[in-house]
Amino acid sequence: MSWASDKIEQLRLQAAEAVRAGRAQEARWRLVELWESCPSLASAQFITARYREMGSELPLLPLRIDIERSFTVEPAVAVLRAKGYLHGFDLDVRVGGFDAVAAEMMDVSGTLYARQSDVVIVAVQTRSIAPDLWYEFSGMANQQVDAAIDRVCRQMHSWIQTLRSHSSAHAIVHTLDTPVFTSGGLLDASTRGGQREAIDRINARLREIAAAIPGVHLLDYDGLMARHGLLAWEDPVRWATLRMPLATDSVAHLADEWLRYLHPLSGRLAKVLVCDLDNTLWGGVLGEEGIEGIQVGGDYPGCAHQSLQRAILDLYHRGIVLAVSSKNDEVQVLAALANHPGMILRPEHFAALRINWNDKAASLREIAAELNVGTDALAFLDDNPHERQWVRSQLPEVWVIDLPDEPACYERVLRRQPVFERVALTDEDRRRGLLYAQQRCRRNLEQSCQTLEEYYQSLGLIVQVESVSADTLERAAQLIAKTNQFNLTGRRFTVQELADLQSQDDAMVLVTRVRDRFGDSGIVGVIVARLDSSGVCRIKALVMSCRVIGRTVETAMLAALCEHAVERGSRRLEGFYVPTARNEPARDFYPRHGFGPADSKSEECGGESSTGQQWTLDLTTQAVACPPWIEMIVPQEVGG
Amino acid sequence: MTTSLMEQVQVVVADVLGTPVDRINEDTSQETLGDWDSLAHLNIVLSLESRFGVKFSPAEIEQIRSVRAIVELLESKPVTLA
Repeated sequence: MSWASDKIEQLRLQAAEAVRAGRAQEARWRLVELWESCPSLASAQFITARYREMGSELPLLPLRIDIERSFTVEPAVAVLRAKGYLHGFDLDVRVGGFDAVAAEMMDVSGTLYARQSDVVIVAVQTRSIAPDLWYEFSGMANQQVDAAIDRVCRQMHSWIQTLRSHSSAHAIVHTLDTPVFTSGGLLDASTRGGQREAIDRINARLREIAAAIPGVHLLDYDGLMARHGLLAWEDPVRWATLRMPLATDSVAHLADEWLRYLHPLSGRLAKVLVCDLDNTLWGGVLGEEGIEGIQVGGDYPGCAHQSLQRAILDLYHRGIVLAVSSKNDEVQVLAALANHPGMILRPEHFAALRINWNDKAASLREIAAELNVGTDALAFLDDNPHERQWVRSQLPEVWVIDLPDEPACYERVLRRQPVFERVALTDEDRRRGLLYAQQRCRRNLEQSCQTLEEYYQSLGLIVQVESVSADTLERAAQLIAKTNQFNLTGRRFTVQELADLQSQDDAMVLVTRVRDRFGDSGIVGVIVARLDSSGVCRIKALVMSCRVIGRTVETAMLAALCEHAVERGSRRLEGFYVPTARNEPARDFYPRHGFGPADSKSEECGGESSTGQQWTLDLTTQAVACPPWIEMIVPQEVGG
Repeated sequence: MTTSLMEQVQVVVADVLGTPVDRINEDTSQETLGDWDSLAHLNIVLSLESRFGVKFSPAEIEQIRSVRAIVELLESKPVTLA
């Protein structure tokens, strides 16, 4: 046999051996390599079996998923599970009954709702929900088509509404697919009222529904098929014989597309992209060829590197922070970034630069520290496989992007990385680059001040604490999902859960806005609290963006909470500190503000319990005061 | 290290069925192994296609009922090892 099958066999043996010996990281790399050499269902099953053997040796994020479907998705689920492991997820997937979507989605006392999944995927094909539009379109009168469209839209709307009112799961809804060959042939493209138009009208309505109902995300199924080639996507033989529409290769593509949603939905994201320069952002080696010699823009390969820069700029506008790690001369690099006519990315786009001859793992650690994020929030882009391997071995939590040899393919590889996907964009995301520039000014001021107090005074801080509203819900949920450091409990809330809490009389969801002389930081803090009839106000979540750590904003937030709690009849404030891998910066939050330890016990929160240190503050005798250097703006009313 | 086609097929079938490979031999078939149900059948077909770069006709898919039958089928095809 060829070397390829030997290589696969060897990778399997190495992976199995690494699992047995407890070398979990090595096992993971072998399994990633196995998948890349042989992306088959058998490999998927092998990967899943090895991960199950390893148990909890690698940090995995558990996610519960339900798939409501009208076709055979099981092979894709097997791939999803395996690739989920490779991406750091432990997926508990349930596939609904064959073509039982309507029954299961409308049965609020059924299995789907009992499982309280994190994500529900609705995978319905046009041929099953609208067989008339799929099979009989040419014989239908206009009114019949209108009626069919209306019927399908109302049906799908009621599924989604039922799901929304009885579950806090994110919904991923496949849009309806169009036949590869439409019933009207060529005419379908040029006449009004064709089959494609009819299906488009349904999808347009689905987009309106998704925009109006929180936590509903559409998966563009026609777009997915088109990316991989419509004719190759489905296998008519397989459909006719096994009722399985997907061709062999499409199985993994569908699983990949689902996985692309799971990253943003679960918060497993990269916040910072660290880029190499030579032969990555531009062609050639700056130190050897000089500014005139490097290639960016113009003929190949310059145009390929320029396309990559455009893709990176798109990420910047999506709120991903950019940084550079390059083994180069800093003065020369800054000149190239500022002056080379082909550059799309300029110095102001980068929040941190490490241009030196140090090892890149060290540079990545420094960049993370400077930007106040964990190293697990970094993605690393470098054309050099040795640098990638080094970073992988030193910082396995970094998302390392494997670039192919061909620069013309860099752009596509970058654009398909799921850690840069976002399912919603807030104003904060769009302004993040600017916010980091302001942060650089604050660092300069801090260095010029003699005391911390003088620094705080000179900042001119203005803090506003207010109830969450429809406009701020998305940002509040995002902040809770993405904040790891100043996060007291690690507990996450979805948009839907926050909306539900806000509408209840015994709960408060407060958001905090901060601005100072350097600019508006936007919404940077969230508190979720519940009040009970015995006069206790319990803090369920308190998070503050790392962007404002070190400006005493947390004290102002707590002062505002005390005021609201007292106003609503509370006599005691209670909170938990639940240690996580990353929330050390919040450890002394309660004792620092005068809270005393209470009996440690587990806290019941919606079925799940968390253990940690409990802290308590007697509001009748103590109060948390807002720091004198902060101007607090008190909004009109809180709650309800 | 060279693995025979028979061994490779046994590995694929074992992986798909989630069974240790030493429980699979030339005579393993739908009749001898209860886990080899219709969904497993589909998964075996898909796995073989991507593993060996082949495509099976409906008649051939019908024949995929034992390890021996799979090997015979693959031997009759121009196999491009992925």
